[in-house]
Amino acid sequence: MSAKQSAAAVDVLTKDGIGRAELFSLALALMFGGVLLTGRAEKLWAQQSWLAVILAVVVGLIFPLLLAAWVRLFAGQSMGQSLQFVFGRGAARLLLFILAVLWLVQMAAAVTCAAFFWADLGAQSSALLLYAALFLLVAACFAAGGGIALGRVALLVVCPALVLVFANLLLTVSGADKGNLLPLILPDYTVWPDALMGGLLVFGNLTVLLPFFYHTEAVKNQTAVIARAAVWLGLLWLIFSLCAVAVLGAALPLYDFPLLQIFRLAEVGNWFSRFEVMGAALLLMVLLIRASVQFAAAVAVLAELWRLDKRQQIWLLVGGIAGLIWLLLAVVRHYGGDWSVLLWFGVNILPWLLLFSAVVIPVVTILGAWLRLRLLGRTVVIRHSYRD
Amino acid sequence: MKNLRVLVAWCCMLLPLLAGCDLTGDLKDVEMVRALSVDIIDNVDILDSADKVEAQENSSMISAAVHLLHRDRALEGQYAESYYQLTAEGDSLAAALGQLYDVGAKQLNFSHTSLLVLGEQAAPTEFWLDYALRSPQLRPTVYPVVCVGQIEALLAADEQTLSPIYLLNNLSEPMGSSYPGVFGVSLQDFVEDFYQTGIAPALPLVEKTADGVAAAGLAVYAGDKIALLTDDDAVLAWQLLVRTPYLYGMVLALDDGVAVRLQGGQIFIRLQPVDRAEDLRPVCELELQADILNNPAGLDTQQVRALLNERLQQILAVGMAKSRRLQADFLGIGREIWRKQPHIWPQIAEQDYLSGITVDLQTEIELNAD
Repeated sequence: MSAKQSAAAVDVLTKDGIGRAELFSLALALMFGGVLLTGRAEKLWAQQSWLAVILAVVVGLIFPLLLAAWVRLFAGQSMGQSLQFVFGRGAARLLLFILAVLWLVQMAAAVTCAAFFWADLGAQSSALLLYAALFLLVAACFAAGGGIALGRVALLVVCPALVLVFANLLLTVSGADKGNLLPLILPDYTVWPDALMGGLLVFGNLTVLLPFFYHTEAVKNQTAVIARAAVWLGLLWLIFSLCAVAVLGAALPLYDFPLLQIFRLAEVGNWFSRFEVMGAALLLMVLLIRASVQFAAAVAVLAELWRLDKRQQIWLLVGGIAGLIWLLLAVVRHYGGDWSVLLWFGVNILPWLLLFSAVVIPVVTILGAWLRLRLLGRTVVIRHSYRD
Repeated sequence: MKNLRVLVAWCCMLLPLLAGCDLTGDLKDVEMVRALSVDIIDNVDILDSADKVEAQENSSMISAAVHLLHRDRALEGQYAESYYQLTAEGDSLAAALGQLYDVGAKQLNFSHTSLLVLGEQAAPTEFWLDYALRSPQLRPTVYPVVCVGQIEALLAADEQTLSPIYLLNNLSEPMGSSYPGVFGVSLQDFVEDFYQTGIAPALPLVEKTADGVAAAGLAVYAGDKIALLTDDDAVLAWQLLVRTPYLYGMVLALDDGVAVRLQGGQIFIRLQPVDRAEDLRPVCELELQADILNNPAGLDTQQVRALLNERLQQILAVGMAKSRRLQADFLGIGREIWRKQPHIWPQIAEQDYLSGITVDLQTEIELNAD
């Protein structure tokens, strides 16, 4: 894998000059997934969920550090080159392939979550086609125009989505029974496994940005943006969790997506309501953006592995997305409103996959590189600026 | 970047335009349901003891009716006929509503439905709660009310009287405020209490009167039984302790012909930390703002405050006595114990804890003589 070919494959984050606000939004979209929407922490821990969320955020903040360490060590290297430096050519190619598959599975989970989120609103799955088509457009823009297209879409969607979420929380929390936050008991140690899993499921998705961290000089500044996004997401998660418990009280476990119920409850007098329609549309887009980044990451590593040119990448994207839409509609039709199987997958299988792709591979690679660099008497693999 | 920020700001400003109805098709084919009523039409055994009603399940047909606004008649002042209804039957609420399309309903839209009227026999939750929770159209802000007897009798109106649906709406949201009053228990409020530890959920009870419809008390859900509570003071106790934020406009009659109108209030139930259940002594700290509405004896503010305090103590005593007699904690004392002394709750959860607890009331009343 030559540096030139790799650069052509993965130059999406920096060469196009993605702005901080865009990357910030993209990182938020990556983390804002099923765990937050399904209110997993609140359902499991109710009034004690604040502690589970704080622990999860503390655990989750490891991932921006992981990205920063990766960028520092593998200056100017593509993902394939970085893995090759540590594991050798054959193992690196195998790991690239495994990562692509894992990211595709994560993406399928994100899209299916989006489908059920949509179905929970009572909407017809056929209406989802409209959003799926938009998803196709975004991903095609991403492939053709680079990361800036996706970053801008994320900025346009994530900001209004957050504004809407906070507006609805304000409208509902003001009339909520604050006593729902009681009793304040400290839970026992059993909160730890769930907190760890929550941190992994929410913040672990950040490592999907690894294939795009190629040109280090510009990317170095971006890791701080991602760390800030992680902190903000943690705060958002905590606020949302507390508000959901206060607003929905003991009825919270009844709802697949507590946030949708909060949207339903928000009203201005009797004349302005039904916020859930636009809320669901915006949050659905956030989920689809997340899925498209995961998909693009998979395509980027496959392109590096198979040495595909830009045009072939686009075909891979479009073909893959067409297949995904078909899969999505088939899943929704098959399971109808019953998504317990997918919930089971999300709770029992997905964390292990994420553990491998977001923790094991990056940590082992970083440790391996650090040891090898110490033996070589260097601090970074290579210094390189994309303008060189 | 500046242009992008402007675009984001525009997107945020345009967001509200996306809210509202999601109707498709021609509006003339859409019928906006103002109220949904549910009743049982046969084969239900009623065990009437004192003021308790127990309904047997699985042996009944459900009658569902949708009440639609007749705009022309409403504009012409034909109050009783302002609403027309379509009725159908089925073995479940969903089935009955499905049958409505066979009796001439067009595209029914429930997104503006504000009332869920339950017949006395249809009040048990197995008849309606599951549908109400699952329906994507029925709003969680809809107000369920239970009527004494059959719905048909409640909703029948003379030509000169206002529509019962209109009156029921006004009962839930008094004075056209668009905000719930003391009897405006929303579906969400009910569901929260239904799944909450230490409180028996309650719905307003309404009945037919000479003038139309009026509040008749409370339907208290105590386990699988429903107690119809018609004692005025017990209902007032529920309003003061459970519905405190919605007291605005409520009038309380005191001795010596004095009457006060409540402007608002808040309650805090204080519990000192204890180790044993026997030592529990909840103190209700009630803050009220009120206007003196009628004062024929010319009492000074201090005397009216004393009268009001005495009356409030009496109301709480009656409410607690009723709660103990029904063994249904509709005042939510158990909920406060669970929230504030959670280590005590397991000791008393399975017991008749209300009998062993004395609740004190401390009031702080701000009276406006004007």
